[in-house]
Amino acid sequence: MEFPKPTEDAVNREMLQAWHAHGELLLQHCTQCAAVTYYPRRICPSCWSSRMENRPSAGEGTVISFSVVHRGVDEAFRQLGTTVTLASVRTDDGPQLITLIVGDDRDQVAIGGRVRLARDADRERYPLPVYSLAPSGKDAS
Amino acid sequence: MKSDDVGIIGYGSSAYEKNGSQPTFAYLADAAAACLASAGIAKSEIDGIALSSFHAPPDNAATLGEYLGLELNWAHFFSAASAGPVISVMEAVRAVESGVANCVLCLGGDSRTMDDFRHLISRFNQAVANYAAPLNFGGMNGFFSMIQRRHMHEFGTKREQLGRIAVAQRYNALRNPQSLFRKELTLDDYLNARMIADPLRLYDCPMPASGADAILVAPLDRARPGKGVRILSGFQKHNHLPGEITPLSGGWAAFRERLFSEAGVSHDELDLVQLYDDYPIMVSIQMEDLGFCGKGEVGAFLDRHTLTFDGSFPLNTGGGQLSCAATAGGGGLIGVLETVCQLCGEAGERQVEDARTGLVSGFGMVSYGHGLSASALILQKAGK
Repeated sequence: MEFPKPTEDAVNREMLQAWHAHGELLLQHCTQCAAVTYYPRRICPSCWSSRMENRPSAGEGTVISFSVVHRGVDEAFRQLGTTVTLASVRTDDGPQLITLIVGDDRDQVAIGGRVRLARDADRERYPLPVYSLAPSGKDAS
Repeated sequence: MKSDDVGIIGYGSSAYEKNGSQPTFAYLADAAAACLASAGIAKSEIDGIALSSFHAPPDNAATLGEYLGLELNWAHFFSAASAGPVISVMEAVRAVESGVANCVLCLGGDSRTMDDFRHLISRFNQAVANYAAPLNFGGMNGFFSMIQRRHMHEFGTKREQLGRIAVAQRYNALRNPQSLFRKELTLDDYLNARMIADPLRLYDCPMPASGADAILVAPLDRARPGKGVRILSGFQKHNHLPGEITPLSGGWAAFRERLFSEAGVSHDELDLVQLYDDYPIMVSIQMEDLGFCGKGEVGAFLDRHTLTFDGSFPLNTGGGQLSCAATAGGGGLIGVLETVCQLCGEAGERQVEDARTGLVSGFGMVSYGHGLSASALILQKAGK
């Protein structure tokens, strides 16, 4: 059974491939107004300039909130029968994103806790950037 | 927006069902016929249709008009999200006021199964399909559980407090013959229910249903005696707080002051309130954003009030989506229907005494992390 995958297009291809090939999170930096954006768009949602550059995130961020999801939506995920730790993360670069917290210690995630890009995650299983707890983030509250 | 001359003169719905036993247009047709019967208006007078539906496409308002045998001067398909049906009532009033249409039927409804629902939510829009669904995000349950956790963390809101919403709505639903949920719900049932997306459990989540609702907008002098409802004010707001993913506030906060000042009504003058109830946490956030209490203070507000139809804060008096029916496209209209029914004094066993003025909100378009669209109306019984 197939897991849902993002659909590559002219706007998001570079971001999706950078994660898949190198474990990098590319963020769009607007060269006109300096806004930083995720997910990828054709024009800057702050100033509508089309002059945006993809630059790799430094990789660190803070948990805004999280959830332990027991019931997935897609049948393929439901058949796995596992929970996932869904999170909203504010990257140190600026933008917020929806992600998963992975790793054996993910049950120690906390609001305000520090996380970092899980560059070594199984990127066949996770087609979008995921995070793990930063050593300094454990037991934060 | 406000209108002295144009308002709501009829309402009706199809039967609600857990799994759709007939196509979407069939439910819409049942609701349309019930609505006209309630208003005593002939089919030949309908010259406008507003449709809100998730599953109707590739059909639309014009093809629904053809199905119903109507010749139309105005046909609009509203944003499928559940802020849309409330907005469609505002736009229908404008269409009649401007003379473009004379009698507009606002319809919302869907036929679906649980599988249809899952398919819908993981492909709700491009942002969800590309950047959330591949993460096994848990659908709306996943997003709103993050919002609830953040609210609990930041303001100390407790599940025991949120649960009072679900329990009161079930109490109301037991007094509504149309409700799908017929069994009493206790706070213990709520607190100990099966985990869905921690901290959301089963009774926090609406059960997708099938069915349709209809509202008839026309000049108020066409209403049966004592059965007209005026729109005192109405607003919409989309993408409030751009860039936020799990915000603790929605678009209601942006238009709250104008909503009440244009209506010339204070919070205390509302006799009943129908807040869009996809989840108790979103009902709570609307209580704050609409100014019934301060931001972060909803826990104490919930402790202070009884929320049943006969209580100090009559909320979702027909049971709402959580306990009557969550019919997707119709789900956003169910609060309008219940308000009109109450203001007409036709709510039977759950009638709010001397109901004269009510507020209805809408919420929807769950995109990357939260709902983008908010709407609200203040309605009042026309005449003395």
